[in-house]
Amino acid sequence: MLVNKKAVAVLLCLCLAFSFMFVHLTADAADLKPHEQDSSLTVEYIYSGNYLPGIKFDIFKVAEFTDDANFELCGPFAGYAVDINSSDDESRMSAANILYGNAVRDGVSPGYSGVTDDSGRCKFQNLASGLYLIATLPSEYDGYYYSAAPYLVSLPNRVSEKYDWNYDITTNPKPQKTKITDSSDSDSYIDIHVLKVWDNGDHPEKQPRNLKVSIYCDGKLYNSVTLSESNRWSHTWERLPRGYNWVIAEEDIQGYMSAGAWFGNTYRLTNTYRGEGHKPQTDTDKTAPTDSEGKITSDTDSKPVNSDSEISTDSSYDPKNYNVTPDSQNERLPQTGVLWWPVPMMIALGLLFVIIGLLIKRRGTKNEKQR
Amino acid sequence: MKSKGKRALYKFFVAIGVLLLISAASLTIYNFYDDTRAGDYVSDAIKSLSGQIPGYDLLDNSMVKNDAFDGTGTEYPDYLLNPDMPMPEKSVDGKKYVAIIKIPKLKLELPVMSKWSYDNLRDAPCRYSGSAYKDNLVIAAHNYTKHFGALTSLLIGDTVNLVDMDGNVFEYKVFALETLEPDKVKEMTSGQADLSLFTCTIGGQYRVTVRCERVNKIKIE
Repeated sequence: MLVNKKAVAVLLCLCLAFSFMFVHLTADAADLKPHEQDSSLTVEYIYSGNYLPGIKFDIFKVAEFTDDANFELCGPFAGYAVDINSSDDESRMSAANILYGNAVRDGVSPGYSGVTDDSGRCKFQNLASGLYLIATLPSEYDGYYYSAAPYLVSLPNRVSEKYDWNYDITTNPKPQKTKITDSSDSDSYIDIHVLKVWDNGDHPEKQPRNLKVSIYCDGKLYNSVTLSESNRWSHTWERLPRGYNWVIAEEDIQGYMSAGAWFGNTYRLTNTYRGEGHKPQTDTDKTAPTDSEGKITSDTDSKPVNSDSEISTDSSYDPKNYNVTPDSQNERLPQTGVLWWPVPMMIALGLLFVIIGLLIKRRGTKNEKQR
Repeated sequence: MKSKGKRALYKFFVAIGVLLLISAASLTIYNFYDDTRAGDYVSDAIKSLSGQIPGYDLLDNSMVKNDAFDGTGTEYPDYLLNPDMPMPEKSVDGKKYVAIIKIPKLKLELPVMSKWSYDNLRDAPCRYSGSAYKDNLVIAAHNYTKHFGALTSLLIGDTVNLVDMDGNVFEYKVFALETLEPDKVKEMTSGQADLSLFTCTIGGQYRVTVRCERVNKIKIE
């Protein structure tokens, strides 16, 4: 009986210990996510120490927190093949470019819009937690156009490895400026070049033979082109007037993840093959939350207009010469010598034979004379 | 009888000797002709190609400064953003070229064919392997006087320039000269140099190889 009681006691203790561990682990998992608490977001535009008033921007909520404090695309952005959980800045910027391009392409309305006040700031309160995309629209101030690349901001923001969260965020997009000039000035136009890069891994056969890429002007389709090997997967739109919101987006590609990056005037669209599980968005809810705090004004009267255009092909381009390597490692380096080496040999031998022949003749003549 | 035999022998030796001398002369004449032909071929090819390459006469970094959409004010060639892209080709007389190589010290300006073959090598230097975009380009050419015949005159520090068919300029400096045996394919294409040029030694037994490193590379800001 005593042994039985002891055994039961030990068993109970073990059960308690396991329960405690279980609760502790689940509690840790629950702690990874931020608390269900709204955040505030202040967007500041500063250029060379000066705060910029009148800068317009849109905000889209693109993702929710997962239980392990990562992000999962939501709403109209769910299904876009973009990596939003990378920790490096370059990847996040690339994701932001793609998300914004797709939002413009699909006509997704921003959840919020804002204009900075005289102090160069705009504040939003009571924003639900999640990942937000901030897209600056080209804005005029003091004789210049100001714009900034779209970027992602987490609300709240994690401030340490221990999952401490900051619910009052201030963010500073890095604006670029260009001088506003007369339309007769060539500086009032830009050329925009798009370059498509494929990373097919071990599956080059999965790469599409062509792909449609479009450019939008203030949210409206301006022009579409089909990229392929014949135009070296690139195209340049020439003489686009400045001051408009030029956004590039491609059609979705099954099995590929997208990344977009600006290098000067060139927008590089990189597609990385990830397998058939990555499918493009099909049935999407294009309606975003509509709790706007401001309204974007746009000048629709003087917007440039264009239609789909034929692309020119360079018939001399042959992609088959890609990274030529010798056919076999057992091959010999080609013989690239002009045939000079036989010449001195033939001259020497020729002279030798002639001399020998003459000697033979001379000896024969001598013998005849002696007789 | 004996004198008849000796007369025949003398004629035989002299005939063979003269035949050999005539062969040597013929081969010499043919080599000079082939050398001249090869030189004329590349001159004509250069004239056709240089007109097709944008900005070829400038021979500087082909960066065109424009105000960028994002205001950085720079523009980058596609190969910098995608080094894996194939080198573009232009055709002249049915043959495809990927670059023009200029060696100022040797006063050489030569077209580079896209792929090598013995037929192609008779006309112009050929890409043996690699790509200028990936800094592992190897170019082979015959040792004609107007091709790579004077390659051994190059010294460490000499300049070599390459222009691709888009007008992108690649500048190199010679950093090593070596002689490889014909079976050293792996060593030739190992990528230890951004650009390698090779041709045969006079006897044809070995390969004179000039190794170059790229200088003044465009950097992405």
